[in-house]
Amino acid sequence: MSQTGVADASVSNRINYREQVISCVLGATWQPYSTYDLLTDWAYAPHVNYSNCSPRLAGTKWATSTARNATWSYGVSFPGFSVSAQSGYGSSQQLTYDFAVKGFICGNSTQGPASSAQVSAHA
Amino acid sequence: MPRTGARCCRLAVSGWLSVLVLAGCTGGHVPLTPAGPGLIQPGTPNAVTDEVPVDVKTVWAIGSITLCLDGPGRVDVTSVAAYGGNVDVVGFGLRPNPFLAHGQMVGALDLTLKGLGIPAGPQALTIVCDQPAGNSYELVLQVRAGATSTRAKGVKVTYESAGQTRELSIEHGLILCLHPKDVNDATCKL
Repeated sequence: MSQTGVADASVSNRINYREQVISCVLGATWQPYSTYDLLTDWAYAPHVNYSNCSPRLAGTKWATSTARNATWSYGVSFPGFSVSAQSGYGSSQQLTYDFAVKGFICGNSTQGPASSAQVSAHA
Repeated sequence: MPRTGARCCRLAVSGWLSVLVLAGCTGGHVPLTPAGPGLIQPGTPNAVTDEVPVDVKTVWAIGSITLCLDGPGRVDVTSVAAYGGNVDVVGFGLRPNPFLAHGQMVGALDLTLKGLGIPAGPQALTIVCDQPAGNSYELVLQVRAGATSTRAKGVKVTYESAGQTRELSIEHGLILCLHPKDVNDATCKL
């Protein structure tokens, strides 16, 4: 499942989870088992420019994914730039930044975009 | 069918006992912590992938890979290579995190390490991770395009710490896609 052209918006995927008991010793975990709704709850998300930036030339792409559930609430938009998001089954998500013009990936952490919980992009 | 269930239970119990016995046997013989510090990525880094459009034999600099030590001491980075693919890493450079000096990290640029003013080759590192202050190093790769598009799953950093050779695998994917892009080239699919 993917969504292209996301711009200054927040969007949610709603997944149903079940508590799965492994054993009395090992305890229980929550596992996704069905989709409730995808790409829902669209809302305006003001654009944020984070200050820890790295330049990307036109024609490059930068993709980030998480190994855990995440809530993304950032939007990106500028002419010549597109962003797409792919979501797994509650366990992995991928966000791809496609630079049609020279731009920047910026993160909210001084440890770089890969270690940032939130990232933004601008020309 | 009940007999199958009973056998399953016996196997499960036997398996648990084996695990417990093996765990007990290793105690005291295997060092729990290495003597020297380790090299890590600070925080909880996400897996990322850089895709760049390349011409045959051109070089690119790909950075924004952050490293630091997990404790006091020193490590010597000896080599950096790509794993899980065929990307040709022809050089690497390390420098203190430029964000702390209000600079920029290298993203993906068609420049050389020399052109960027980044010292290339093996280096001794001493900076310990100290989030959220951000003290760390930026690793910048020099990659070279081949005759075809290439890709790799990640980057492997080899280093020496307290006389031991150790490795750090970083989930930083690399895709060097020959320009103009062939939309049917699976190597170029991000």
